[in-house]
Amino acid sequence: MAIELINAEKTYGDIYAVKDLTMTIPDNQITILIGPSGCGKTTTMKMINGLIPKTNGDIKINGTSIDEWNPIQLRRNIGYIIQEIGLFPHYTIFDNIATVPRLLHWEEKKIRQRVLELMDLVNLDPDEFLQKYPSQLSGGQRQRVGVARGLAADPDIVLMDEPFGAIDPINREKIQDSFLEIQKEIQKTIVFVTHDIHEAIKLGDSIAILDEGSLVQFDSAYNVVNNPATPLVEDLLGSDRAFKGLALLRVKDHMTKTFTTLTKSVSPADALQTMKQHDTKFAFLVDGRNNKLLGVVTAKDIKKRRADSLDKLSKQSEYIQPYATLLESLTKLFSSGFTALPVIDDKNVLVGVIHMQTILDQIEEMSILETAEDEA
Amino acid sequence: MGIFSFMIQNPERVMEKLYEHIIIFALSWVTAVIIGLAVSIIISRPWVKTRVSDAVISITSASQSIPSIAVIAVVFLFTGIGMLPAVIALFLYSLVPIIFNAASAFRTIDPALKEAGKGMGMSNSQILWKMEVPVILPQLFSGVRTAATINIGTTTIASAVGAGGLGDLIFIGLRFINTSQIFAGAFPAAVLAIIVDVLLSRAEKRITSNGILMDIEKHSQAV
Amino acid sequence: MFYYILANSSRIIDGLVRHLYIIAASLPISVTIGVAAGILISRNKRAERIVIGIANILMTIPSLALFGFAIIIMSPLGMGIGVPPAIFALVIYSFLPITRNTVLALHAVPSSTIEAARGMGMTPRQILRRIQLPLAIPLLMAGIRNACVMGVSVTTIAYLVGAGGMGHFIFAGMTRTRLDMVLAGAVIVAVLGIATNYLLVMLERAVTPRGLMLEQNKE
Repeated sequence: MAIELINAEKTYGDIYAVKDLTMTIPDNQITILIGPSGCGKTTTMKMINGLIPKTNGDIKINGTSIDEWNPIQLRRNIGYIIQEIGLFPHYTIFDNIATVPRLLHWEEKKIRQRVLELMDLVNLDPDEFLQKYPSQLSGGQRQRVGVARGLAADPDIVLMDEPFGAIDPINREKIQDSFLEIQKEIQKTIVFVTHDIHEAIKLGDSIAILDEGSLVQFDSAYNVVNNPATPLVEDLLGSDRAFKGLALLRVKDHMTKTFTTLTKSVSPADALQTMKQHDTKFAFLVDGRNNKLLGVVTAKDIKKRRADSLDKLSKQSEYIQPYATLLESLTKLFSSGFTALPVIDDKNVLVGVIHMQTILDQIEEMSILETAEDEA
Repeated sequence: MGIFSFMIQNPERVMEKLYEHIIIFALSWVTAVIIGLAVSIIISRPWVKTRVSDAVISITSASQSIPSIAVIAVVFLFTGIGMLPAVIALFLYSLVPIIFNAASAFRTIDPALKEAGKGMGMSNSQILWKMEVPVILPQLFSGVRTAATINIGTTTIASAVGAGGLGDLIFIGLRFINTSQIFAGAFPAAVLAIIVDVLLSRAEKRITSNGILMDIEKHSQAV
Repeated sequence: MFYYILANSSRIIDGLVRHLYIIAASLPISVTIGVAAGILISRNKRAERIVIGIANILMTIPSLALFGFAIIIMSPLGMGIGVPPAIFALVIYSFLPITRNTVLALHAVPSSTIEAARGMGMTPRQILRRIQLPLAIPLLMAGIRNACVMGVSVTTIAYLVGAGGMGHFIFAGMTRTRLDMVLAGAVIVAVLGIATNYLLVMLERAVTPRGLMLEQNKE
């Protein structure tokens, strides 16, 4: 068991910030801490790496109480990721990511190699970014650097304190998708603090809801959504709870991998022929070498606009990432007016297609709509 | 070139006064930089009450409006004439902008930044030297540069308490309305002040991280 | 010291009046030059760099040296001693913070605000008078405050070029080793500096447009 909290408490005078908290945080999963402000979620997280010293009880990491750790050594062995403002403005991106390995006195050569690995992991081009400074990056890029920095020393445990809170909603969804893709690869034990229930449902394997310093419910994301333990949890989930069930389902598990692709060299006439054979009204234009998505071509456009190459006929398409939720897909489908969306991974490679009908079928299949009706 | 005549006829005297000037400046300024920065670091540590740094900042802020000659005069009352009272007065007067700038700057550091460092396992001294100081270098330099400029300027006045330095030439020149002698004191003093400021500004650019300089650039465009 | 002040109150008041008169006489000149220069150069990036650069250099020149230069320049005009070189030096010193702050202040107005004004049909002159200058008041006032505080200090030294003022008590007291006289001069000058700063901070608050102050407080 990586992290165990045993009757952990934090008091300020007579006030309990965290009260008698006992929970075992599952290994290699994302555990969300959520609750209203002042509920103790951040305090709980910061007690784990000793940024806030606990008052009573115990916290064990790999079976050893944190009291037996030197707090500085402890923190160097736990990843810590906060909002993008936590990047050091006087360090280059390279130096930012290298912070903890340098504190641990790694060899420069090993550090360099590790930094390159991490840049690849968070999908930033090392040649373009390593020598830049945080102020030269966009919010989303900075947050990717923040994630890379937190993972630099390859810690088993990573603490994340509202890491995506400062990013605008559209980019936040993207970076959440990328983060899930990364987690699939690295399988860390992650404690993630957020106040955003959408984020909690989307990212969390399990969700711990706190209120006034106490644990209200600690369960899998599915159970929290379907069986909220108290009225507070119901409030937190909001009135559109029914739809939040869709937020538990990932695009990657529901997309189809059969779709029609075309390359630029194909003539419009041949393209029309291919679509007819595949019984489809649209196809995706991809780069023949690496399958990267370039655009979408519809049969209607080919017939109507008689251009000589597919390049000129293709349109920019809305897209979605594999780890996005069906709820997000549905929103995007509505706003784009398409009946299907291409699914592309972090490197822009076309990996599947998600159809509106699939999502509608899911809604029908899930019990959540019925529960919602019962309540009404 | 009547105005240069005193310099041309008495080069060794001008050099001697310039030398005295530099000694007085260097002694008082370097001590003020070391002690001023040390004090600012100490009062900005988490274990020192905010009230203490509040008080220091308001006192130094108000003291910046006190004319330098008033400080020289008061020190003169205690120690009499000579180089020592001048050095003491200039030291005290240089402390003011250094501490004011440094102590205020330490407060502007985003707490999230410090916490990020702590959360990654930096020790307190690593947080101070690897994060806080590099991030506020421009403000530290601004105090240190202001102190240097004021110090060199005030050193000319310190000649009134018998400290020596280029002020001697100006004072005597003023008394006898000898313009070339005034110039022989004023010109090297002005050049010295400008050179020291340019050197410090070069040093600042060299030492400060490009990331911080870019931040400032970005900000000055934004405002 | 108190005895000295009481015994010489009329002389001290004369000194104070002279002191403030020199500052008051130079201030309108430096404000006029400073603001005008600021507005003119704020339209040209290169002129701005050059003027601010020169002004920065002028600022580093020791005040006593500046008085020296003032005497050298003004002697041929028969004004080498007394109040004129003091005013000359004071203007040179104080127009810089005013120019610099004027430029900063004009740039501080967000381009979207100016765009909006233009979109509503204001002429460039109207934009300057109705939008940019009112919004520039806080910074401009800070520049004037700087100039005044510096003026208190520089005027003390102006005694050495025969301009009179509070410097008399300090410098003459030193030569005569009249310690009470020196202390009285030093304390009064120090209080004058702090008081000038304080009063102008108050004035600054009073003339700052209310909406702007609310915004600053929010930050």
